[in-house]
Amino acid sequence: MLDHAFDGVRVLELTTFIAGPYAGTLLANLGAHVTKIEPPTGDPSRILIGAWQAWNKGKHGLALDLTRAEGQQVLYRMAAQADIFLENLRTGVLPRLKADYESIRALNPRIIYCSVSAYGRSGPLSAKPGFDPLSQARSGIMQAQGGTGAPVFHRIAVCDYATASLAAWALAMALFHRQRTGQGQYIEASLLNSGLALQAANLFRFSGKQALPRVDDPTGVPLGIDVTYRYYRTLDSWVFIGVRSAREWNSLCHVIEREELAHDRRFNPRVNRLQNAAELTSILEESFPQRTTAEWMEELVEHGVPAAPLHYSHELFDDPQINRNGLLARFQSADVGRTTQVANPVKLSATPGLEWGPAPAIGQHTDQVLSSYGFTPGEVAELRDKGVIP
Amino acid sequence: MARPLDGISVVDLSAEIAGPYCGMLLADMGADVIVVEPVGDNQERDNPAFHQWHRGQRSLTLDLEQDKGRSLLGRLLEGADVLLESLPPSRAAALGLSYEGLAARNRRLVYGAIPPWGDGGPLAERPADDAVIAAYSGIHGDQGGVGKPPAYTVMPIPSYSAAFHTAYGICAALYVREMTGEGQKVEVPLLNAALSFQSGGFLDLPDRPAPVPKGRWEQPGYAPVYRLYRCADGKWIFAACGHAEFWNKLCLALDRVDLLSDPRFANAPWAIAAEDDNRAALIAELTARYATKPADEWLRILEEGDVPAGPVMALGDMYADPQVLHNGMVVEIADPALGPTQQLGTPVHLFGTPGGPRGPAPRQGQHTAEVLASLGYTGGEIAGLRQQRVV
Repeated sequence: MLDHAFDGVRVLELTTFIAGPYAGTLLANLGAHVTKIEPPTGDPSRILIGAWQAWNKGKHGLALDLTRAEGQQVLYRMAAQADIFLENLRTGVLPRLKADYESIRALNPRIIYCSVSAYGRSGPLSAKPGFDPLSQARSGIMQAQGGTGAPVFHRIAVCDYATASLAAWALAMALFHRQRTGQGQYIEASLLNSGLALQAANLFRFSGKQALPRVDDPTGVPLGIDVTYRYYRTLDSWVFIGVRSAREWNSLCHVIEREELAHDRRFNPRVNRLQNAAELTSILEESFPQRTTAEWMEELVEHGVPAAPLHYSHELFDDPQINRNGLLARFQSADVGRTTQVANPVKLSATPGLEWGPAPAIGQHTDQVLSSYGFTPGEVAELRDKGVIP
Repeated sequence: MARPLDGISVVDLSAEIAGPYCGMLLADMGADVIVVEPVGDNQERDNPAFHQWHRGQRSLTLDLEQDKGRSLLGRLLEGADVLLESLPPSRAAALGLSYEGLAARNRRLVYGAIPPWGDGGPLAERPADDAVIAAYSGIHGDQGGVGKPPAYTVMPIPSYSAAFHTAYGICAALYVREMTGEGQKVEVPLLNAALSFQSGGFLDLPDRPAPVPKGRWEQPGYAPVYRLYRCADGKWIFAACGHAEFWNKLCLALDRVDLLSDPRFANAPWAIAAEDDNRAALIAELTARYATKPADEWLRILEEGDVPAGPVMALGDMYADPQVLHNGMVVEIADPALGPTQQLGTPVHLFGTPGGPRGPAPRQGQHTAEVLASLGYTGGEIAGLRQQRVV
């Protein structure tokens, strides 16, 4: 029996920022032994303290000077034993290190090699450097959020996270395939592809397609998509209501103590509500400021109206449902002290995965990792003497 | 060429976005996905995206409100590899769906669940869809910024995230099953998926001062050097100078090396985001500079200077974009109901077992007789079930 889905699966990572690293963390969450290989000066994205810890949770840290031939030899010796090689460095870096797929496959025919890039490893844009927002900008995501106004950057690095989770999917599928056939393979995921995957419903095009509706505030910030599916200002904050069905509409009318509207021809059926949206908007904009968000939520929940209070993520560390779902991990980290961060989101009942620990400090597990890949203490000492490892 | 999920059968009972999108990913990779639809009107089909989510799949109509329908479903699941559903726990229980019950009849079953909140807990039965979860989990609040109106996100972030994470979990469970012979339950509530996409910001470090105050937020970008700017022709570009090397290159490319020695900007690129006056001053400097040339010219200059930057484009540009087409991300499928369509390609590429879309969505109930026959129902029995509107 396996305790964790990826027990015994060894992953080597040459990654930076989010899209590559977070894929490694998703694998570590399910039990994979993930080694993050960093230069002795550290992954440059460590500058994003905190976020870096979230994207590298559960990994083993190995500091290795890959500008030196001896460092490259260490990488090759490890790659010959690994199951997965994961990289998201700029196009061209891995071939220069002789650590591209063909080179690694020559050492390890069963390797599953995943290359994560901004636009793809081939094609007209492949040589360009890229970060999440460039993909948000290029794929149409920023324009869609901005509507008729200026484009808007998403605070969440959506293309990065989509790429990480799609890469993790591809890797799990490739492990499954290798288990059935013995064959490893090369995989690509990219921020550009993920930017489109995040707009799948909008990208889907056919004759007669309708544009998506939206409701904006006076400054052009979207509040929702229609009069009963949007945010309203309350006495102290905002509340989101997601009313679609007739039953939900009736309940909403009851909650705002305007039962007469439930059967008002102007607002029934739903198509009339959309047609007379301006009138209904005024009514709702007068109703909701009469009570606090908490008071409204109590009533809305009691009457089965889909609704949510306006929340900020930093207010949610004590949230009962989030904690009940096991979504927060609390660690003591060697380099940043106490951390509370997002734990494994994918729950497997029989092989649940584990929390290995917080993201490593630079080179925190160098000796342990090299030993697990068969390096003797004498070899490790020699590498250290030569300055290949710190 | 072989597809990685060849031979894997999936029964899809899910609704809305996350489950169907997950089913699409699995079908593209070779799974035989049977979408279970009601016998009468299927509201899911009111959303045209249904035709994309269910491309290359088979359709079975089944009335799950009838005992006979539920028992037929049980028989179908005895031989299935994967079940997909997106129900709150009480609704799953009412349909007789529990992992333990189904596993007793098929220990190899992988049960994929995408409930809104979880399989239990204080909110498990609260009505919710994608936007409610996005609001609750802080996505809209954080996007708008503290003290400002919430910013509803046009993208259904929790649902798309859940589709990807559930596909991941299901394939991990299939991998485990190859070794143990046992299936298991894979659960990715929309709430979990929402938090996973927020992991870089959903974080508390009590021993460190926050690099940027909580809730500090401006819609164009994170920091003056990681932000949207408007060029002389009114077009927008994003310059993403994610580390110090690129800050240097940016100042060179903009012909403003003086900024590198300006003491106000000594903490660029990132830390300056927290310093109100200096942040505003640098944004003003850069805004004025970008306003002097059209977007194409800046992009050429920035590219020559090796500064990561790119244009703001529209989704409509993607159908003819050379890199998008090179990546195979737009495919054409003739749909019997909608006519010619353009759809998302398969977003990851497995070179040994590439996969890809296999055809249009089925008509409602198109494969009912075929699926029932494969379960051993005779023609007479099928006719009887049809008469009782079980199928």
